Amino acid sequence: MAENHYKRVMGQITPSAALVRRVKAASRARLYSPRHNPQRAFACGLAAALVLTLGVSALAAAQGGLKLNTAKVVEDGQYAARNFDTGALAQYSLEFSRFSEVAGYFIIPIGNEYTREAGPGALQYYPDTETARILCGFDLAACRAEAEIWVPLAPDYLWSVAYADYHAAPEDMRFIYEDSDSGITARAVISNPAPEWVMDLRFVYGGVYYIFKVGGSEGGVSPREAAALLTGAF
Amino acid sequence: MVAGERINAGENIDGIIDRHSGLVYRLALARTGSAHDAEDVYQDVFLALISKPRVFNDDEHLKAWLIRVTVNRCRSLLSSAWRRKTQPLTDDIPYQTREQSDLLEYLSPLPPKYRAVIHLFYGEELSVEQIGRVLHAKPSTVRAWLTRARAMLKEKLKEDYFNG
Repeated sequence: MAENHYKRVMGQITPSAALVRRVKAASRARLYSPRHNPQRAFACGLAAALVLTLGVSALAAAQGGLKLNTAKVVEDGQYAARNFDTGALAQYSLEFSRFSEVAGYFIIPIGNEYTREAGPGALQYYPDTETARILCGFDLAACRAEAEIWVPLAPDYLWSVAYADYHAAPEDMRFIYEDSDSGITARAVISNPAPEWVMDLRFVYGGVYYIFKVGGSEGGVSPREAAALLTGAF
Repeated sequence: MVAGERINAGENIDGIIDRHSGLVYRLALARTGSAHDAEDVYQDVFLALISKPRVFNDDEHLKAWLIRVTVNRCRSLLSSAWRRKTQPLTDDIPYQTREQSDLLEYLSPLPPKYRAVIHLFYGEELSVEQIGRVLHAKPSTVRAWLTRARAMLKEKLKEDYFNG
């Protein structure tokens, strides 16, 4: 391998324009760790509350005008809202328990009594308000997990709904992409007979990088305790 | 930017990204061997800079920092417990040319450490001493890595030649 050949060929490789754009967008967002920037943490908290509020309100409206107390700060980065699927008092809490340097990690614990039908961890956004819908569900008896991310994504923002860690055969997993006028809807479903699984979906929407993880295991973490992680840099 | 001028990363992040995107991405690509991973690392490196803006003595200082952080991020990524249990579902992003694919294919059997050294030496044209400084290794160690990496590449080229 000639030295100049290496330099010439490697020199032609550049990051994609979309990637560069995302990072620049993140630099403008300037979301810092709460340790370093309490004001920013507060702003992030408000943003999270707003996101949840939008989702809750929209769902409430869709479900017959169920009036819900929107998300509010409970304490130090914890957020709560009434359950908008059942109207019960089950509580969501979003917490910055793993707040990264830039991106806030929101952990949405799955409620104790939820079933797949109840749509635990649902967080719904709507396109007219640049919103997205995230649902995940569990059927404990069948050890079936289903997650849905329903986002109007511009094609160049679809970074990757890339990889997953699973203990089932690959054919048990399917990823569905649907083109629509507004972009792409990415949907992932795992139908997994094994008790252990975890799924990692990544996407970028509006210059924001999200990781959505759903996981559970028979041993350490029960499906009831499985958490959906939504990572975003606002 | 004036040569030797101090660089405040907090005030000039877009300029830094424009100037050093290629450096970070290519090093990450060379070291991880995967375009997806290189994108992750690229993003992490610049987000690290964004989250804690620093002042650098000059562009060389900034470049050394970027190389160091890129190498560290690659190392963390490749050794993470999460990754060890993860299997990619999608193919890597295709490279634009056959030459690029071939080159990365030749690098792929090398251990990540050697790939990074080869890239810094040939791709970024850093001296052995400079590589040693950014990787916190003795120049003699870097020379040894280079020698071994070259030998492995030579072997690979020979194999491919004889295998047609």
